Amino acid sequence: MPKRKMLAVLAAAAVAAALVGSSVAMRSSGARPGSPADRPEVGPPRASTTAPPATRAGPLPTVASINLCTDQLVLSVADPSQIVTLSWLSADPEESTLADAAARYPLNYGSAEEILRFDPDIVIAGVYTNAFTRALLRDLGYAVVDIPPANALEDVETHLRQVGAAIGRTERAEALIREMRARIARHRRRLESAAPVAAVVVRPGGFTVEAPSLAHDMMTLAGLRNLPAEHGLDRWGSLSVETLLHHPPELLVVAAYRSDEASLANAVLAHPALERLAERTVTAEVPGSMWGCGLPGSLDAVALLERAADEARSARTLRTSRAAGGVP
Amino acid sequence: MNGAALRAAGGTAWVLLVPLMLGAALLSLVIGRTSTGPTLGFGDAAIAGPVLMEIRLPRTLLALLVGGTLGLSGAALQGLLRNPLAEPGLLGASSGAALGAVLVFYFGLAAADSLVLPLGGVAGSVAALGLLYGLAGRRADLVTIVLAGIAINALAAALTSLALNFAPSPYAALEILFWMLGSLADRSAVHVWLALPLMLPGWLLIGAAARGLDALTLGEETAASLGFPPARTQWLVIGGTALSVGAAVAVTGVIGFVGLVVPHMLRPWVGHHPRRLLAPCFAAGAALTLLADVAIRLMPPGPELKLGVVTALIGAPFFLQLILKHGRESGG
Repeated sequence: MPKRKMLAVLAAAAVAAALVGSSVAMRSSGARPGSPADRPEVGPPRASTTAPPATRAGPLPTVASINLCTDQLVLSVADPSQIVTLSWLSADPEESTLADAAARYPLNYGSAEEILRFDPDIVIAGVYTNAFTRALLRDLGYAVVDIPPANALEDVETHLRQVGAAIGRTERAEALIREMRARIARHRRRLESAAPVAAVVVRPGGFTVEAPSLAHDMMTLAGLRNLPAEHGLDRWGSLSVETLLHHPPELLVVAAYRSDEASLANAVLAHPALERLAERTVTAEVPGSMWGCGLPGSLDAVALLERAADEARSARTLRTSRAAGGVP
Repeated sequence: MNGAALRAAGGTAWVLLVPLMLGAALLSLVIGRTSTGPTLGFGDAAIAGPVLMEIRLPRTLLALLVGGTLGLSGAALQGLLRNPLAEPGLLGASSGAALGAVLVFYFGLAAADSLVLPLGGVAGSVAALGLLYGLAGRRADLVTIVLAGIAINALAAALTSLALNFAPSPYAALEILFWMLGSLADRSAVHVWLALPLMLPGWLLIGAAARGLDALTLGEETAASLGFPPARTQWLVIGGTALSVGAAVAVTGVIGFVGLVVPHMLRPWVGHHPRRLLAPCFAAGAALTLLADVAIRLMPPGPELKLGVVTALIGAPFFLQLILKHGRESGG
């Protein structure tokens, strides 16, 4: 009797295997589920009534993005009519620098079934976006472009080009790159005349900025010396409050992230020793959303940091003039 | 209960469990999830084919195969070790598979191909079994095997944490963490084909041990005199578990509680003979996993919950209730 049961289970498995086999056969026929040409619109009703009209898609391919950073790259490079969906985090102002723009589009939670319903021509994902989802989307016939995280400011150029080339917006990408280069050149010219300011960036969880990294590049370009990186850090850039007290900075930059929500990560920022340090140090706040992704907007954070560096410099001048006996 | 009554109970279990499993599979096929929450059916005619065949069917099959594997191996191990707390993770096959997959993440290979990850998992579980065999030896007693399994689990857990510490980026570490919670999301037919060739021989090995397990309930010497040498039964079960559970974990991540709870759920119903438990436990494990995976899709809109979280949420209260009931019965 148990043998019969085992056999029944095996038979069920065999039936299942046969079903999968037929699905594999179907895939290998290469049939892509209905091309956009013969199917004007599938998918759930647009989540927002202010969604841009999808009428002048013309020759431009439609795009879906399933990663916070690629969402913002796509928002920067794509024509609004191309975008069919962005990932849910991109509409959250705590996470995304382009939340308002992203909120105009239907949002996805990054599953293959959702993307299938939006049926885009191109899917843009991060290299650390769920590998199973990316593979399944490729199996389903979608062109999936994987963008790695930006580890340097130059990476932003590469990623803008990659996205631009994938979605037929090369010119827009190049224009953004020219604009970025001009802004970077302006910052560099300022660097020649201004002495660097010793700074520490405190991110939630006691993380600071490791080197080399995108955030380190941003600091350098703004005329900041990344103090923790000079004193050695682990590879993700954890900073102990003690190290901070041993090497007091001239500028304390707080990357604010969901600061009104309780978390262990934010508890680090409320450390009494850190608060005392903040009382006697020039402090600036740069939103946490500006640190994570390499975007043209990363230079907005550089501008904020540069202004903070100027403040720290004038505080320094004030200190030295006081030390010299009040001589103006 | 006498033998005939038990057999009858086993029969009803079978009559109820198979429809339950198939019903759960059917639900898993027809219930989907989009950005706006759960959906019924397959959507637009143009996408219904791929939604059913390439997304829902592989997911349903994997839930069935993985859940069945966990239930089956849980029953076999509890029978073999004569310990109600035994579960597939005990021998290190799960943690070995998890370590293998995490190492793949650590070296950044998972970004290249979704197949590398399960292959890393299979390699990890085979390595864990090899180590167990090496540590415990061919003629080891059960205590040695369990202790060796615990040591392997501890080692694998420590190495996994170490790999998490050295992950190439916080994003990779987050992916690893999510993977260890277990999920069936967006698995494809490729993963069914990867797991099934390892699971099938695993099930057969466990099935071959069924009579030996029954004999073991009479004690090792009696079992040997009945023609079921305990060492043979032992390695059949261990080998079968390592193969099938290793393949399951490799494809889905660690899904806890199914292997532990399912035999306990069925024992009051089909009795304590391991042989009678095996096949019903396969069906019940499959049904439980399928239903947990359906529950995930019924949640309000948002990122998907992880399957391991849901099986523990469903399994733990049920298990507690069983223990309390058992305590009351034996106490009163």
